[in-house]
Amino acid sequence: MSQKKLVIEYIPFPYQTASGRTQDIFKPYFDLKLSYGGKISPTISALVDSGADRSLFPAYIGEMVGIKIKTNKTKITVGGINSKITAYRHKLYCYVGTTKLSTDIDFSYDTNSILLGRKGFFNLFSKIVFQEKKHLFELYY
Amino acid sequence: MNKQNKKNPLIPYEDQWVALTSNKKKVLFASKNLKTLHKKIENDTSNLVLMKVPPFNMVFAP
Repeated sequence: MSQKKLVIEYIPFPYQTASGRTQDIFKPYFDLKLSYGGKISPTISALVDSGADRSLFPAYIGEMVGIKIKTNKTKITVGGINSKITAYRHKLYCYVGTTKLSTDIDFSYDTNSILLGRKGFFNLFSKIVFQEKKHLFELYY
Repeated sequence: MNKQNKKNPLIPYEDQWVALTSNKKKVLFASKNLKTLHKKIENDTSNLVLMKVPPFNMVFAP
């Protein structure tokens, strides 16, 4: 089976410097859809975060596809810098292009961040290459 | 980081949820929270991309 490759350009976000000037800061975001019980989410753009152990999404995104977030008794504590939040892990599918892949995501009512982490996203691919100077990344699967 | 891009479509939407065109060139809907945004777009999700625009005055280190 031949290897597939996706090349994704970083998204420019406004960033205000200490002096008050606004510049663009480029970040690696990936667009995906979630699928659970036959229901498919709108396309969601999520930060590809090599520093995150796992994928973390706001609970409402899980609820969009019909997941009853708190029914999973596997409560997870997710730690960031100087903070801890509670999340609930669920198995579901995500679409990478037209390819449907099984994954699991931690959903929390305490976050607005949408993070694609190493377990649950990076491990779906054979290779991920970040090209910072070109503002793009490549996914091989 | 690059120089200021005054055409960045996200500039008016700091710290909001947005629904963008699939090429991310234009914001079609925005809201302070995701649930409200989802209600706005519920019947028109096919070519939209949902995203949280981060605050502009900080860098992100999760």
